Amino acid sequence: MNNIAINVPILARVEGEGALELTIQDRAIQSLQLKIYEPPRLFEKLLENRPYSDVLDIVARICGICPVAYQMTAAHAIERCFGMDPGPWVRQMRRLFYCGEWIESHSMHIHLLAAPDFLGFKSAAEMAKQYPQEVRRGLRLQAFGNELIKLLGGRSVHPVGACIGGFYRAPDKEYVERLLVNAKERIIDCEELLSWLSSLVLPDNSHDYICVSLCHPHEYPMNEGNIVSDHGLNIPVDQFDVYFEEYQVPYSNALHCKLQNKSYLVGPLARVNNCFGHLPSEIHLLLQRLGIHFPSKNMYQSIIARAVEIYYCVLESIRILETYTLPVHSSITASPIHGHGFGCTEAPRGMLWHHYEITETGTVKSARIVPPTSQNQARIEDDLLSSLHHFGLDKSTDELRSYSEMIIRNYDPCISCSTHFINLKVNRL
Amino acid sequence: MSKIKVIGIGSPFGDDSIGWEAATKLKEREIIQSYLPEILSIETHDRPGVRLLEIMGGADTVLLIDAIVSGNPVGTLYRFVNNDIYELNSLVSTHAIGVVETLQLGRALHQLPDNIILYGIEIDVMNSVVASELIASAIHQLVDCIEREILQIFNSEKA
Repeated sequence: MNNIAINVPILARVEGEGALELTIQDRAIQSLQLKIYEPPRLFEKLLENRPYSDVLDIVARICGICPVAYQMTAAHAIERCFGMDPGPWVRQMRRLFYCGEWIESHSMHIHLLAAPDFLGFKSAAEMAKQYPQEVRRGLRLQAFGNELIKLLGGRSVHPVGACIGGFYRAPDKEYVERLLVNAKERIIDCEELLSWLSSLVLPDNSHDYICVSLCHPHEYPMNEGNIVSDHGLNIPVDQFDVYFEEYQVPYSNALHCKLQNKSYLVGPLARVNNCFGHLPSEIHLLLQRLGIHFPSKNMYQSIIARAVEIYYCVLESIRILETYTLPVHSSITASPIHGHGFGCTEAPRGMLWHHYEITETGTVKSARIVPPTSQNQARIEDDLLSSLHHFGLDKSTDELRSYSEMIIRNYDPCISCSTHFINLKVNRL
Repeated sequence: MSKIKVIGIGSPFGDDSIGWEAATKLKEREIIQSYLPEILSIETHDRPGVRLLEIMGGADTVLLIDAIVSGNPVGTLYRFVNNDIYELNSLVSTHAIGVVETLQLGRALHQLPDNIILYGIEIDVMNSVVASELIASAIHQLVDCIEREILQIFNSEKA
């Protein structure tokens, strides 16, 4: 058979609605398109002409899994525009808030979305029958992440506690102490999780590509740092547009993005590869004992990178909770200044970039949001092209389909996040 | 006495908010207010995903209320009990892990309450406008059903 058309109409166990269309002719891939057909969500346009103080509550609605990332990126961008520095207490609390989101999101992906692939189950429920302890451990970690988000956000889904300048209120000490006990109990969960994942037989699809992430001189990156790549890029966040280009492809509702015309990876594996040196010694030693090595260009190891970051966030949350003090004020007051503000933080799925123009009265004039899944789309397509060739294009259609789905899930795509943009052209005659 | 938990699930906005609306209206019923929260609690949760397992903890009977999309006429009422629920795959869920998947997971982990009853109302996601007349009337009927169910459970224990 010379011509094969594979159509995966709905990608299972990813967030949002996407599809894959693959055409093979004479044992070569003729076309491969990751189609994100979830309708555009117009968030950037919705933000226009609204007061800056509305932005955090609106962008939190972009995603049910990573609202903290959207809130933090917007807060940094707007504060930068206004020339604000909310100080060390807010900085620490934002880091704690982010730890909660990474733990919650990564735990869900590892246990409920990705692990069934590697163990040959169709769903997490089927896997739970044979791996109940592992799934329970995942749910415990996820619940702890949710608790951290609730501590600062008031609730874990679409949190409402963050504002420009800090947080509406400071958590009380009793609550913090309760969470500290919980955090310390999770260390063993993290170690066992990494140990379990190291025992899985992961395929190897290593090939060369560019890893992009934030990089901070003193810490593992979350809210701050320069944009760097493992191919020598090192730029401040407001230079994004000089090096990166977003563009539309006809078959996807999410914009693609390239770095100097090349696809690139953002997300946990890119972060661990670029910033391994900032992980604490406990993690380095455990990985060494388990025989896990970074940097790695094997996307299957992204599940391990997620577990590494869960462990990091548990340790980081213990550090922050142990030194918690009640502040005099939990936020500083904002005074709008006309200008442009850029923000870039590390969402669980990778680098998230925002740009706002704010008027002197504090109204949003324009907004631009570049989410991680948009950035990874071109990389996913390149990965599929390379991995499917190695896998063998003469495999059965079902095998090619499930293999492609597994490759895509390695990126933990969040499709709802990536479809917020639409080009609107008005012709006035 | 056994503990009953009523949990309204879904977005607080649009027709997906039927879980929230029904739970709120149930709370307003006088007879429902006569029970102590230790034996009857009524909560609402915005798309809880797997947190539903935690939320259901400590209850002997859980009554879930959620929107359903299956192609039946808008306003159709549903009641599913225990095993019937796991066969469903049409509940509205915007994320990868919905109510049915979560209950299937809970069942595999032996982490479910003894009785789970899922009440639903058919909605039309393409025309999601709050409190269309059909939906409003269906919510009223649904709250009557849930009230009767709660009283029946408590009365059977007395007998």
